[in-house]
Formats: sequence, C-alpha cells, structure tokens
Amino acid sequence: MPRQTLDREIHHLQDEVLLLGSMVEQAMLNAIDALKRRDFSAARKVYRDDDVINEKRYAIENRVLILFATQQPIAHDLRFLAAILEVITELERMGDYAKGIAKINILIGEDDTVIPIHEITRMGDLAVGMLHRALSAFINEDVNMAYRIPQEDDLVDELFKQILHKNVTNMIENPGIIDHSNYVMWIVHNIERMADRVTNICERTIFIATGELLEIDVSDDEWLEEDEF
Amino acid sequence: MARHTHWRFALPYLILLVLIFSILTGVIVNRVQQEDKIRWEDQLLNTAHLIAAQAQAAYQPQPNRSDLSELIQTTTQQITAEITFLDANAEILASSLPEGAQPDMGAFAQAQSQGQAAISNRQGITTTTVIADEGNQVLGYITLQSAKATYQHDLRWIFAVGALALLISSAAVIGLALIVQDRSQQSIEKLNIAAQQIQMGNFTNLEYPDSPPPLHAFVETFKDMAERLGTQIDTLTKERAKLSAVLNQMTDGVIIADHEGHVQLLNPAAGRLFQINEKTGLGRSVVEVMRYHQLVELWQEANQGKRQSTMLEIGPQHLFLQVIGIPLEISLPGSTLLLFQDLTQLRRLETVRRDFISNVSHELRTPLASLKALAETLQEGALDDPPAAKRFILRMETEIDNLTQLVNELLELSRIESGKVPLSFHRIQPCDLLRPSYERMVLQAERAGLELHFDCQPDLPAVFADPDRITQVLINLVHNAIKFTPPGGKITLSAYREGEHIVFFVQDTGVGIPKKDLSRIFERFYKADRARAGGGTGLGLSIARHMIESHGGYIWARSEEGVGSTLYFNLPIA
Repeated sequence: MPRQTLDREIHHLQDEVLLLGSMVEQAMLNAIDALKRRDFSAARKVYRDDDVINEKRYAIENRVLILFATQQPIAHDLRFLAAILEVITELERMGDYAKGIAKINILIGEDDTVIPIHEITRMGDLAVGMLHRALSAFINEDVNMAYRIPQEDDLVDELFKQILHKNVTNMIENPGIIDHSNYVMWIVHNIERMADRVTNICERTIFIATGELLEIDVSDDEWLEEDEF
Repeated sequence: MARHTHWRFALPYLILLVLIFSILTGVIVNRVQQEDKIRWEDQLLNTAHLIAAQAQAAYQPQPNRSDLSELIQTTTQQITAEITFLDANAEILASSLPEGAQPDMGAFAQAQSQGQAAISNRQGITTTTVIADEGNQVLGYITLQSAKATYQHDLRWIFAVGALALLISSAAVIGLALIVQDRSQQSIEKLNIAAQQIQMGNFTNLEYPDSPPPLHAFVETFKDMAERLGTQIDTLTKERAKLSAVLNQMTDGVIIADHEGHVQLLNPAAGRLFQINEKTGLGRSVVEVMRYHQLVELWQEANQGKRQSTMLEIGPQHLFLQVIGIPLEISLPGSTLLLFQDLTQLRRLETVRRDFISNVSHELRTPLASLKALAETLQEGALDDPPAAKRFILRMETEIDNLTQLVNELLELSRIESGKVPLSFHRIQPCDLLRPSYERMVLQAERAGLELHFDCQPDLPAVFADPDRITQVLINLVHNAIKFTPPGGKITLSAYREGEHIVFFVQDTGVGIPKKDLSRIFERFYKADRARAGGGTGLGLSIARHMIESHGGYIWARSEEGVGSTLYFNLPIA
C-alpha cells in the first residue's frame, strides 16, 4: 500500500513539474512576444504571473518534503525526488528570466530602441524548445536525449554572441543609445542563461538514471554574473 | 477420458439393473420356497397318515417295538424323512434317528392337545400325527421330520438363471451406453472444435455434428449464435476499420482521456502535434502527453462537464491551435474528448493577407503623398513660377507613372494568381526567347554603364512556352540586374540544358542578396534593400514566379553578397 501511494505521488509530482515547466515556457514566449509587439499590458501580465510560477514551485517543494518525511523513499525514488527539488529551482529561476524580460520591456517603454527582435525570438524559441525536450527527457529518464540537448546550447550561444557584437558596435558608433543597448544585452543574457539552466536539468536527468553526477561541458559565457532582473 | 465417461454414463444403469434383478430373484426364490414348503408339508403329512395306518396293528394290543423298528426300516428305504414312533405317553418306541438323538417334538404338543395331525417348522419340517384304534382311542404318535435340503437344488438354478440374465443385460446396457455415449461424445467434440474456432475468431466454414434429437436443438442454437456473432463481429470490425481510418487520416488531433486524466486514445495527428508516439502515449497522463498547461486547464474544465473551446498559440513552434474539449457523457461516461485543429497555416495566410493590404496601402500612399505635396506647392504659388511649375509637373508625372505601374502590376499579379491569364503555348527555341529580351534591354544597360552579354547555344532543344510572357520575365530579371549592379558591371543572359529542362539564367556582378532574404525575394512586396530598391514595386519577382510556375517550371536564386546574383528558372523541354 505505501509503495502504491509513493508511486502515485511521484506520478502526480511528474505532472506538476511538467505543468510548471509549461508555465515557464509560456512565460518566456509571452515575454518575448510582448517585446516584439511592444505590448506593455502583456508584459505586465508576464511580470505578475511569475508569482503563480513561484507558488507552484513552493507547492511542489512542499509535497516532495512531505513525501520524504512520510514515505522515506530510497535509491531511485530518492534520487528522482531530490532531482525534482533541483529542477523546480531551475524552472523558477527561468521564470524569473522571463519576468526580467517583461520588466525590461516596460523599462524601455515607448523609447525608440532598435531591438534585434528577429534574433531574440529565434533564441527564445530555441531555449524554450530545449527546455521542453529536457523536461521530456527528465520525466522519461531518457539519458541519450539528456546528453544531446546541451549540444543545442551552442546555437543559442552563437546567436547571443552575434547580438552582443552587433550591440557593442552600435554602442561605439552611437554612445547615446548605451542605456537601451544595455537593456538588449540583459534580454539576450537572460535567454542565454535559461538555455544554460536547461543543461542543469539534463545533468539531473543523467543523475537519476545512472546515479552519476556529471558536468556537461558546454561553452558557457560566465562573464555576466547573476542579474537582478 | 472417453472410457471414463463411458463408465460414468453406464454405471447408474448397471446399478439399477442389479437392483431390479436382485429384487426379482428374491421374490421368485421366496415364492418357490413357499410353494415347496406347502407341497412338502402335504406330502409329509400324507406319508405320516399312511405309516400311521400301517403301524396301527403294531400298537395293538401292546406296542410292539420290534415290529415298529421293522416298519421303520422298510419305510426309510422309500422316503427321506426320519421316523419316530411314540406311545400315548410320548415315550419313544422306535426311531430312525441315530442312537441317543432326540426327535424334533415341535408339532407334538399341538397334535397331543388337539388329537389330530400337526406341522411344525422349527428346524426342518416336522409332522406329528396320531395313531388311534377304531374307537378313536389314542394308541400313540408318529413323528416324521425332514430337513429343508430337499429344495436347495431348485434355488441354485433360479440364482444361476438370474445371474446369467443380469450378465447379459449388463453387457447390453454397457454396449448400448458405449454406442450412445460415443455418438454424443463425437457430437460434443465436434461442437467443441467449432467453439474453439469461434474463440479464435473464425466464424465461417464451421463443422457441426449431425446430432441426435436431444443435442439437435442445442446445435441449432449454437449454429445460429455463431452466425450472428460472426455477422456482428464482422460489422463491428468494419465499423472499427472505418473509424480508425478516419482517425488515422484526419488532420485534426484527437485525444480521449478518462476521468483520472489517462489518455485512452491518441490519433496520429495528435501524436505529431505533441511529438509523442501514439503507442507510448496511451495510458499516460494528459499532462505528459499534451505538455501545455493551457491545454491541461482546458481538459480539467471539460472534465468537469463543461464543453470548452478556445484558440491559443503554443510552444516554440508557435503552433496556433483551436482546441475543443467535449465531455463524453453518454457514449463514454467520465471520459473527455479533445479536438485539436492546427490553424497555424491559416493564420500565416491571414498574416500574409494583412501584410499584403498594409503593403499595398503603404505603396499607394507614398506616391499619393508626394502628389498631394506637389499639388499643394503648386497651389501655394509655384504656379506663378513657370520653370518650377514645370519641374513639379514632371515630378507629378513620374509619381503617376509609378502609381500606374503599381496598379497595373497588382492587377496583373491578381489575374495570374487567379489563373485568368490566357497563355498561348508554342514550341520555341530558347535563343528565340533570350534574343528579344537582350535586344530590348541592351540600350538600357549601356545607359547604366553596364555590359549586357548574350550567350546562347543554337542547338538547345525547344521549350513549350508563351514567348511573350517568358520574354517579359527575362526583361524583368535583366531590369532588376541593371538596378542592383553598379556601373562597370556585367550582366549575362544565357541558358543551358539540365535533364528534361532548359535552365535560363540572368547573372550579374551586382551587390548580391543577403542570405536571409534569398528565400523571400519572390514574396509580394519583399524588398531586400528598401533604400536601394527605389522606385520598384516589389512585385516583379512575384509575378515572375507565378508566370514560371504556370509554365510548369521553377524559379530560384543564388547569390553572394558583394559578388553578384544569379536568377534561374527552368522550363520543360517540349
């Protein structure tokens, strides 16, 4: 009977993690879409809805802790539940990145800023796609997929560098737009960090399946520290 | 097994038979014994009376023992009974019994008290009778006793006959049972085979037994049942095949989930939509399958019994879906049907249409705005300055030309797109298509400081085309090349054969087209470099594409920025 309870609870938690993931994915897409359309009310909605993401994260955490206390899971179950704690933290942070982009959108306001929206949309789509598949890999414990996904980060990094260089050039040419170019930098940085955090989820997936914790080596630009957006 | 059932079948009959025969034999034996006894008693009594008459003399005047002994000796040679003579006081006078043996006195007391013959049945059969003189004075008694052994022979015979009859009828019963049982056994086995066939889903060409009456009705019912089952299953299978064909082929995604949210049905379109294998998706939770919280929320609402419908954009592929959630109250209680209609393409077309209108408005507005400005300037006094007025009028003419060109091209494009342009196809040499274009454009190229080069091999096979239209396309391409090539450049107009097609191309040494624009230059109003495109309408290449495609050809471009572009199209060889 307890075994059944644990299995059922774990299944339920899986679904909850997927739902949280979906909310984060949608938040990021909505934030970028709002940026594209310069739609501030949509941006404000993304900003506000981050609370829902945070609440869901804490609800999941709470359930995991209750399971720890009441079911004393061992081995694989224990690893999986511990990994859930890690994954929801990552997801919550990704939600914060979306919130950050929404905030920048509002900060830029009606000012005439050149935003490389085409590239940003592409980056966002790539990162969200990675997250979507990383969560599939996590739930299905698909190690092969978990190894493959971080490779896609290179595409995101490539776009990131392109925008960065263009932005720096723009700033040098026209120091008057430094403020706004800085905003653009934060936007792309947020998306780039999101893709990096997807890699962490993949590492956790490998950990559940194999019990090994390893660092997947992807070229990472660590020159920008954690942001306050 | 069969043998075993035979015995089980015959055993009750055998038991019944033995019972009947036992009772019958018992009754007969009893009856025979009774008869025997009565006959023997009568015989014994008569004998006793006879001996008594003979012995009368030996009792008178005094009982004479030796006479009596002699009488016993002569008599016992003829009858099988023990004889004892007694006097009136029941003293034994003579006896055929061995010395010292007491005669059975069972009937004596009765005979003594009644004064006449009596019979007893205690150990054997005993008769005692009275010996009397003429004056009925009792002289003595005579007792005859006989064992029952005399009728035992009779009984053994009866038992033997009975046993024999029992044996024969038992054999008959067993034989009959075997035959009957065998027949029904065969029928049942045949039915069993038929039932097994049905179990395996084979409803045709079943073999049924020619069964005896008791099984006959059953076999008929069975036959009927098999036929009906077969028809029903056949109908159901066909229905299912139809339904699954619809489900598999339809472009809309279909998911059915039970009350707990487990997916019970997932069609290929839904599988493609959510990038999940239909087989692995079955039994999983709707969350795992659909993965989008908006869809899960819609399912939850529908699962509460509320029909839902919404349109939303999901995922990094920006799929635009119309989703309908229907609670299946009657057909599948507790389950919910989810329908997904992929409207991404439709929405894209809608966007194209919207962009088109906005582009057309924009393209129309620009010349109209300058016309308005020029007209106003003229009104505000420029008319009084004839040289300036003349300049303005010339500018207005240019703008009107631009507008006219735009409207004409739009009309042309709309006519081509709706297939209303009549094409008159001829067999024609590729060079005969290239030359007129060259001749018409060479002057314009020279004026732009460009070298227009014409290169055509006369042995190329003819193509099937409308010469006017293709020339128009070529002129259009050369015109573009002139526009995007800086002075001193070179434009080549040529054709070559590739398989069953002739490939025409216009190559320039111009600015080239950026990679990201290369695939879009054939779209309406698409201008790679808005600044440089200047007076163009952005419709030329779109018209060219439609024209080539209605010839059954294909148009494409290759380009390297700063080096030049080549625009190709091919036409099938006639």
